[in-house]
Amino acid sequence: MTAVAKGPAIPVAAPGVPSTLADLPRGESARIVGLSATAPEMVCRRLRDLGFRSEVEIENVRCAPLGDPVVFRLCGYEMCLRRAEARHVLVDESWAGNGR
Amino acid sequence: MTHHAVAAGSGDHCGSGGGAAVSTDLPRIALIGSPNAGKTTIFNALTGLRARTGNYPGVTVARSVGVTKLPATDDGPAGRLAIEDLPGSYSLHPVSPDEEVVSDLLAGRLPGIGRPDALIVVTDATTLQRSLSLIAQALSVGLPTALVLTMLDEMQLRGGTIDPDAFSRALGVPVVGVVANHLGTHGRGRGLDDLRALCASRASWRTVAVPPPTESPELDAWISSVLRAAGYRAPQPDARTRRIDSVLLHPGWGMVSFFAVMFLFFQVVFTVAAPLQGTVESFFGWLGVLADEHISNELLSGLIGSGIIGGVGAVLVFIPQIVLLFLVIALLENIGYMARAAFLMDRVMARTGLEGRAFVAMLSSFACAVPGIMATRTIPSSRDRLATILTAPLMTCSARLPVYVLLVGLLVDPGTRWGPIGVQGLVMFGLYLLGGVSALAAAAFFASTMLRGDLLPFYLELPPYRFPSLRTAVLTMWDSAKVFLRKAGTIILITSIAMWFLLNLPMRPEQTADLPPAQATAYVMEHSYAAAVGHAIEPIFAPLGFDWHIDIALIGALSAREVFVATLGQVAAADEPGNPTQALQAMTFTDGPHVGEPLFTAPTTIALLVWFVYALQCMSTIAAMRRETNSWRWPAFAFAYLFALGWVLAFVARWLTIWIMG
Repeated sequence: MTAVAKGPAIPVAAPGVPSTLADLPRGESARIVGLSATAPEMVCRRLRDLGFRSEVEIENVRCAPLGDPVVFRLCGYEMCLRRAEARHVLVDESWAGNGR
Repeated sequence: MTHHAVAAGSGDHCGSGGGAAVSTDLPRIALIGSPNAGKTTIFNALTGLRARTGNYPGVTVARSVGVTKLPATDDGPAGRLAIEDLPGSYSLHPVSPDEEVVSDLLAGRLPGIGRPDALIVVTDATTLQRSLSLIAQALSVGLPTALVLTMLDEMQLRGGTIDPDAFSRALGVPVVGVVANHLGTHGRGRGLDDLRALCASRASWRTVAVPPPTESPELDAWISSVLRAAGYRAPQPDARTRRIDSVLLHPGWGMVSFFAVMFLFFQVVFTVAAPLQGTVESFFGWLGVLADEHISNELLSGLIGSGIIGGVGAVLVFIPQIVLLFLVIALLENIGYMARAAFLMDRVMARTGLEGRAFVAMLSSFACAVPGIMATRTIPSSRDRLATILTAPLMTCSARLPVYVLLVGLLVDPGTRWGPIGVQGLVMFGLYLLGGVSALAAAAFFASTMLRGDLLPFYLELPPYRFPSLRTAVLTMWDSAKVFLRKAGTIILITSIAMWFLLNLPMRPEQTADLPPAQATAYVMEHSYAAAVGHAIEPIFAPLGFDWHIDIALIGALSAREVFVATLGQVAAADEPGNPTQALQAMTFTDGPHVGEPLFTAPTTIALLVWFVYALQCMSTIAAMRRETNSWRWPAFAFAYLFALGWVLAFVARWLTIWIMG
């Protein structure tokens, strides 16, 4: 397993308050709690078919050298999204399975 | 017919085995699954037919149908079954043309192609949790269905578990596990017998009585319950892939290695191919001499020697290079690096308004624009797809090489060097760069102006690195060579013969009776049908410095760029049509205001080079555009804008050169 993101302390979200996948720091895991209500239906459908569903555990593996897109690990595989799409995925960073 | 159906039979650059011509009275099973699930490998194992397999998501783009022989079982006697390999799709709610084929076929919406009789869902066990969404949709289609689980060995190695029997009970359909990478065509692979037995027992497959839910949150609950029942534990990340990615996708080393890979890509293609090219060249030279010596009829020996051997030979010289290009691209795809290249380049492509996958299509276009255009089928956004299709012909394809080699040879002496760098190579590099930059600029222009944007998400799967199979690599090479040979044997052969006749008819025996042979040939050519055509279009190209000789070669090159070299060779009446450099250097204007002046001056040669960077002189590309966009509008537009761009920039380049040279 690669190292957890180095540098300054990772901002801790308040328990139970959803943030988006775009805010998930590198090396951190979270639990998906849903998709943004403002996202187009077609985008939501595709994201769900790719495994971005409620209760799924997701990890930010790395971002591209030029900053975007970001590789996420979920459902046992790796998928990259641009930050614009990652913003549609709501996550809870303060769940029980975190902080391995 | 839709363009998908047309693409099915044509098979020209798609690399599949052309199996679509399978009789339709056999029962037919369709294979569906996500990209990278191992569908094509299963298909190859079952049918022995060849279709390209790759690790870049979505490489199976053409329709391929094959036949499998079944053993006798309790359910029935031995028999035959048609297997259809469908493009990889994450969902039956399509967002890309690739996926549309799948959902249309399963719904029976493709004209001329009936619904399949049964369905096999091929699922990579390591991505099962994600794939259950597709499985749920497949079970709702209402066809008898079975499931094949691939990559079970990888699943085990990475510490994941799944019980296929329990999984089968939970789904209510048969499930067979295989080790896809070990499936050989000769039946030795683990699981292949199970697979055949599964197909043989097709009669007992069921359509599930109550299809699973396909909408959240019921679907989420169904997925969890099925996974629980099947004893599923997700696999750990692939350690090898993580290690390799920590270098290849590293913020610093990632870009360094990307440029190293690109450098090696061109290095291999150009240096490794060179000696092989020499061999092919001398072979055709020998054939030409043979024809010249053994055919006494002068007309016939001319037709065969310069028309056929010269024309086709000039093109076949580039076969080693083209085969190598395709091989390297296939290896990068199969290993899994292409997806990483798309990931690394996405941000750069985003600047032009496109996405990473467009980069892969553009890279393929270095070999040939046709597979590049076909690779756009995996791009979901129709705007990005069209912008890529319209600009892919600007990438320096292998057909431009013979032309560039000839013209750069006229422009720069091979010995000229700037320090350690050969100037010829530098000019070639400049031409590649000009093509690439122009393609990106044009794509950015189209994406931001005339093409309508859509709200499709960008997503790109990074599959684990896998060892490419030698078999796949060799088959890919052979497929690409076959395509190229077919092109040389049809379009280029026909054009070469046609150009020869146009240049040598009418024969004018009275006028040439008293002339020595060389002058007679020149006289016939000056008064040939081709000369008439060349003179007719001369005003269009006169501002670029082209005379009717060049114009007629350009007309020949409308079918394929390579024809330019052979036609110029014939026009120059060179002894060796495959290598007409010397004859061309001596050529002068034969009439008009510049009569007697040398034809291939630096400004004119540069204008010609620039013209070839832009002009869409390739029938195969136009046909591919027509197929992929399902209309003549876009190929016509592409031809027009590239013609205009080529003319204007060639004009600018010519006058800039004249101005610089004083």
